[in-house]
Amino acid sequence: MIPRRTILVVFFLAVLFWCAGFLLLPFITIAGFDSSDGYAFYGRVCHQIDARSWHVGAEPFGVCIRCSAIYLGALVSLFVMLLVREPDSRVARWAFLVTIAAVAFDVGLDLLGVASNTELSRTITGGLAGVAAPWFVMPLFVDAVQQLLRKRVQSQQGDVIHVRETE
Amino acid sequence: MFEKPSKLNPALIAGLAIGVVSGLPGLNLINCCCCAGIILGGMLAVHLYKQEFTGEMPPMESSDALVLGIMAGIVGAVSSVVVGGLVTVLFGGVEERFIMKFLEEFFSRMEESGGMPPGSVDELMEQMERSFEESRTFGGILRNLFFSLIIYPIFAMLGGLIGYGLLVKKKPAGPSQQAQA
Repeated sequence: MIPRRTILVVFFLAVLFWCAGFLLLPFITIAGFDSSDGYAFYGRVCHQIDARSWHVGAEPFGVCIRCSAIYLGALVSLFVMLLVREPDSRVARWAFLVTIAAVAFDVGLDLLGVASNTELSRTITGGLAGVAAPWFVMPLFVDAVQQLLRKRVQSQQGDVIHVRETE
Repeated sequence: MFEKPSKLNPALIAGLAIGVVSGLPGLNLINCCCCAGIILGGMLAVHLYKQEFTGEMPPMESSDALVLGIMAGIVGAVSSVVVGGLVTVLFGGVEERFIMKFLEEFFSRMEESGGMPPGSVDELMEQMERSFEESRTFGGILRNLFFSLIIYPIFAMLGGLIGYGLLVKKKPAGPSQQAQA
């Protein structure tokens, strides 16, 4: 069976690759290359409003401030998960729900015109949601991958036994 | 021993829901919030699958949620492109103008209330027009499908796992499962 740590490392690398993608886009543009496909790709998951994005020079990152904070928060959490044990699943679940509610509250107040959110509020709520999410989702993901691999091994062993019986 | 129910129906229904949410202009803005529509679609797949279980069946596992999410994401990616194409063919410019007018009024109200910085509305409208124009070309449709086939299964899988964590009550492991672990 693949150990938990290996699955976490693979997932961490995938998230690192995802984050590198949207963080490098402004540098690619500044270097004079065409980055429109990259922006179009991340445009599938984010509104990419210029005024709500962090910039390098005049060029925005591939996603907005809140999305950047979520993904970078998740990346930090995944790195920490490689070093420490997982907390109680109920704590992780509640932390996830509370931080998602905070994001919804921040977005909702803005949409309803009650109070405008700020760069700081978007960074904090997004970052906290990003930090909390992996502690809730990753144990389920690791468990799921290990189950799938176990089933695959069992079915392969079943095939071998079946072949021997038919021989 | 009873077997688990088929994943095909819940994945198809949830995938079509993802396709409708993501393919309809205006409604697809929900995906601007970290693919919320796709994540919710993954959760829907798990919810529908859970309904098909009876007491005699083995319990639902996180691997079921993961596979369901990926299946719903693939169906959602294809159906969103189909729905988007159908909307363009059926309604064409009429639908586009309606959506643009609705969004312009909505964003202008946000700009007036200070929710968006001045000038953002024009910039958003330009982006929307560009995406409308792009979605009408064959290359644009192919590119949409390619991007969707990468992004949708990933986020729907996360939605499936979140749905499993939130909606499915885990049964304590039986003696055989404990022995396996």
